[in-house]
Amino acid sequence: MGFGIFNTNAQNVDVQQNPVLFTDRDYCISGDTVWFKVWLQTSEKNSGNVVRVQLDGKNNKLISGVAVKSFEGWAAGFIAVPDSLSTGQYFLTAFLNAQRNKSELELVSKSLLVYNRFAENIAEMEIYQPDEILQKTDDQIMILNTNKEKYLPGEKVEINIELNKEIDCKWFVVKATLIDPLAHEIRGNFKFKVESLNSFIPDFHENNGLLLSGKVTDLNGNIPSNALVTLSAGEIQPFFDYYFLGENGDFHFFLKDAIGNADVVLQVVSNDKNSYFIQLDNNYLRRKDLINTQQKVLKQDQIEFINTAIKANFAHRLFNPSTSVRPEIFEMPSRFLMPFYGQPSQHVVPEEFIDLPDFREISRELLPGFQYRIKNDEITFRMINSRQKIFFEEEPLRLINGIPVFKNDLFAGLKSTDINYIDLVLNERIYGDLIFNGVLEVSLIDKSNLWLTQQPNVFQFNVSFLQPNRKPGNFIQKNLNETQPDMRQVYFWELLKVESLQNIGFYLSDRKGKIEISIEGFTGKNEFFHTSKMIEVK
Amino acid sequence: MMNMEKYLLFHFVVLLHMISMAQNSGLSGVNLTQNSNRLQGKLTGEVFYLSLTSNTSHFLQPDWIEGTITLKDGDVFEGIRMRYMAFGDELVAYNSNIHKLFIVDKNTVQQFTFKTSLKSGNFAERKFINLDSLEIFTDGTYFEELYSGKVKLLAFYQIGETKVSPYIDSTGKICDTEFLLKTIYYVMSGSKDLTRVQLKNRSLFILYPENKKEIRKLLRKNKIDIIDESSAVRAFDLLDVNGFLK
Repeated sequence: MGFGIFNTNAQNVDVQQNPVLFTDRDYCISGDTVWFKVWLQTSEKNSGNVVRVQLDGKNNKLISGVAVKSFEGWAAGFIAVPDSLSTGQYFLTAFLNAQRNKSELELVSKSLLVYNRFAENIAEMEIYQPDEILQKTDDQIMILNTNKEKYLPGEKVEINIELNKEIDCKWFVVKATLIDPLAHEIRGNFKFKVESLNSFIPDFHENNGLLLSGKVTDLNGNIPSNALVTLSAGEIQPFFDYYFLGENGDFHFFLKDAIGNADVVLQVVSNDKNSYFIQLDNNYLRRKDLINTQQKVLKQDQIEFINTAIKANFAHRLFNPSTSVRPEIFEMPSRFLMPFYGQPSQHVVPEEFIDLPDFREISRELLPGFQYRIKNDEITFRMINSRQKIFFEEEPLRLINGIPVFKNDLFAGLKSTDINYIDLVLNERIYGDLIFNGVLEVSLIDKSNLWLTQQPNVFQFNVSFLQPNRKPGNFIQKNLNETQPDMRQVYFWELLKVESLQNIGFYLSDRKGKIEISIEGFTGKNEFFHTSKMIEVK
Repeated sequence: MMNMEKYLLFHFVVLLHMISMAQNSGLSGVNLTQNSNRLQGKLTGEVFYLSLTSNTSHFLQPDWIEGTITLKDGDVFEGIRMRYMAFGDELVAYNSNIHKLFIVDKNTVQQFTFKTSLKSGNFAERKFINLDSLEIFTDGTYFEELYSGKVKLLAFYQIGETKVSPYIDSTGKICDTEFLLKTIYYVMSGSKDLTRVQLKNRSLFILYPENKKEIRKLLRKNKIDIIDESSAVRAFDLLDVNGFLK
């Protein structure tokens, strides 16, 4: 979407306060990828530079949510629409975490019509039709000309833009897309009053990182007291943090510069023997009021368009099987040039020595200052305090692959060939308000962490952090093979500066219908503008 | 009575068990509260135990002062009570939540600042930078930044233990060493070369021999004679404004 019509004055108020969302399409087939751009009008330093974009259904059910980092006021990313999503109207909304606890928050959402790719002859749909849709009028900031008005499939469209030079325009979102008659009929942006789904998530200003929130309860739903949650993530240089549970059993972590998907390990540490559960919270907003939808009987041209679009999508998948965006590898640069537990007093690589069959032998032969004791079948570790030249009374912080371990017998069977390296920190360390009486870190060659299943109150989650910077490549007409169909519906989708507005052109696909070319953006005074032109492919 | 003893013994054993479980975790945090949470990050370091000798002889400041620590990743911690330990070149901070002193991990620190009161009643901010953060990769050293312009005037404070004639110290003990503070000054050029200097006009003439006459004339005209840090800062500022520093 993005070619909805706005009331410029209303939009100026929103522009001052809220992120402005642009999308490359206002309809899609389930399984498609929707690309978006977001303009952050507010100062990034004040509110954070990470934008969250969510896709939800009419009943406030969250379908998908992503977080992207902005650069020079603009953020760009994508949402993968689930393959199994049923036909219906959905909404895309952009927001900053810093906004979540505002008492009266109104956000502008964009409608996205999804047609399930297995549906046939969709003749009616439930559509939200509010009393008032934000409409926009064409501004006279520029004049769009094309080399023709009517084209044949596959032809090249050349755009000429006459800019009103009195207006200082900085950025332009240029889009050319095939029109869905139904989406075009209900086009517009929808303003909703929204609220945080989870009031315990703080309105933390997310700068260059992501807030991860969750809750801890026991089997009966009770909240533990005096417990903390630890988080471990990353393989090469593990990240660690802790959170002392709030009165609602909530915890929050901020992972700076964390990009991609990662398995994070969360553990509940408390003085009792209870079993606990951890649930991660979805960080999204919901509409305060239910929206009233009405069953809309579709017109013939709308039905035909949808049928054609589904078939075109099928054909496109047939000839382009690998077009979905894959989950990303995790990247999170370490904050400092040393592990979170401190510079090791000893760094031992067992591979450099004779192979030893178990950890008791390893500690005896390779780890001076570390004692491995067995008493009454119980294994205990003791470490020497190198400053005071005496052994610590308490056990050290024990880590395997950067994850705290509380059962010493997990170390017992480790042999030299299992271990990448061992770090010993032979002094008393402070990490925030935590004190470590020495540290033992065993980094294993196998990072799968299957040993975690033997630890109580430990949970592993796959978490999506900041979305890596990706550009859509499927708009470009790359398939010049005349025997393969070109079923694109989006032909051009770029954020351009004024000097790049010359000589814009794109190739049409094999699909016929009306195409809208639109240019939207902001003037130097941060006023929103919109201009569009229709052409036809017959 | 026997029942009471059994009752007390039972609960004592349970209590011991609970304490030992907390110890077995390897995470010790006696006074953890919501104040222990800080989403942006935590300060880390090695626990430090203050002795009578270290308290009186090892630190630049006579007492704990409140300041700000800026880490290399941009995280800023304000309101931290700290002292610079010139004997050993370390920053010692106080964690008021758990009542522990600790040596802040030097390779995480970019700089620290604190205010000192002047005789006039005003406050002056003193700024210490970690040389690593200036991309001069040594094993990390804290320098006070006295002046920052096209060049930096830096001071390195070093407390060393030196042999002296035996004497009786304040505790009545016989000692034959003293802790003495030495200050060494450096000028760091734009290309990050460090040159040791003394707080004298002559140092500037040696640093910039090609402009020796002009510098001498400028200092004389402005009645600046470098004899201490304050006059040195004024001299460097004057030369910077007039384009002599490079």
